[in-house]
Amino acid sequence: MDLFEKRAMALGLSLVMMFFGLVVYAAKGLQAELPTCLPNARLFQNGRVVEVGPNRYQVDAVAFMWSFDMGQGNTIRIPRGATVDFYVTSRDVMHGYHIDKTLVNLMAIPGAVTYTRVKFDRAGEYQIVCHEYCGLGHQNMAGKVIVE
Amino acid sequence: MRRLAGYLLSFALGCSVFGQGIPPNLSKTIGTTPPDVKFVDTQGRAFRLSDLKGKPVILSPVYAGCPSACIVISRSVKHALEQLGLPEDAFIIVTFSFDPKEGRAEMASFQKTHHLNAHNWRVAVIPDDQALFQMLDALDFRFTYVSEQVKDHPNLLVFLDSEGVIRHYEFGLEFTPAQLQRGLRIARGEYTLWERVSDWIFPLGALGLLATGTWIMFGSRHRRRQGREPS
Repeated sequence: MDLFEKRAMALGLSLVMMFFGLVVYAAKGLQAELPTCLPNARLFQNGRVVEVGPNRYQVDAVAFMWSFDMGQGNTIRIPRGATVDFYVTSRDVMHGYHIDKTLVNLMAIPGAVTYTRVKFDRAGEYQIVCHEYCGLGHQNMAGKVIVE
Repeated sequence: MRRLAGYLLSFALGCSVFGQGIPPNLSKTIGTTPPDVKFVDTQGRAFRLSDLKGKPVILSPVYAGCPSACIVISRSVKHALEQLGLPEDAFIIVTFSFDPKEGRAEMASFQKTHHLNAHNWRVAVIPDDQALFQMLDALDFRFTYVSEQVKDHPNLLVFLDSEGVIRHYEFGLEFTPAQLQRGLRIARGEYTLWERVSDWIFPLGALGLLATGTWIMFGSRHRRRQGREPS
């Protein structure tokens, strides 16, 4: 085997092992929620926030050109310590749904619903941004979670 | 034939409308003990899971207002248990409502409508909402609020061993005697060889991949060195 090939292979294997280690660390060390795509879930056209239990919320978020509809506009207010189930979909094209300072990193896919759960232990403002280039107004797509 | 058509229809219904829900992460739940929260059955008797120790327990989270899936689950479990013909003192089933808005009256009506009246079948609620969600979290049971009447949820049964530790999940809409038998067998600690080794398949595969890569890298170097040596 050529020396260059051998080095490339060693580098490739090392990277695979490193990524594998990071995935295990994220799952076990950071207790990261694995985002789930629910292709058969009931689609929703409008956003909303539902209190499903004590300090438990469900947020249905609809992304569209170029904003997020979460029932109360593009901002939601929840109490500190709340556990929130996010269900995200898109009304038109593919968008992204990332909440700053959290591990929430979802795709907003037309015709499907993506899901993750997050617990907001710290009060503050958490910016929501679209991190999937979706067109000319992409930079205007933003929202906010206010934890009081 | 009619029976087969019924099964196919239920399956199609289940897949198209009610087969959704977020599956639990079994790696987080199997081997853990759910919190010892207070249940109250439809007769008004309070009990805890610790009171049921000594026998395997089947937990069945449902909601009384469910238009289809929970009815099919409960009826199929009842039918499968009748077919199995196990003695009633061999295990306990606890069907409880995961909807915090439902109380004893709704579950009593559910029990009466679907004849869930075996001696070892407790139909109950967890009256304290905090405790209810602690239990749902321990089972990693997540439901989606669609409307006041409709919730999407995973269709499953959870099997606890005689010490109250989560040992197994069975998934489906229409449970068969074989599924219940398997769950109860695992809850009794009787595993097949495959069930014992299946958890190790992935780490063994990863090790195999690493070993193969190492062998290709260093084995080829070794062979080349051997080839260079004068004979």
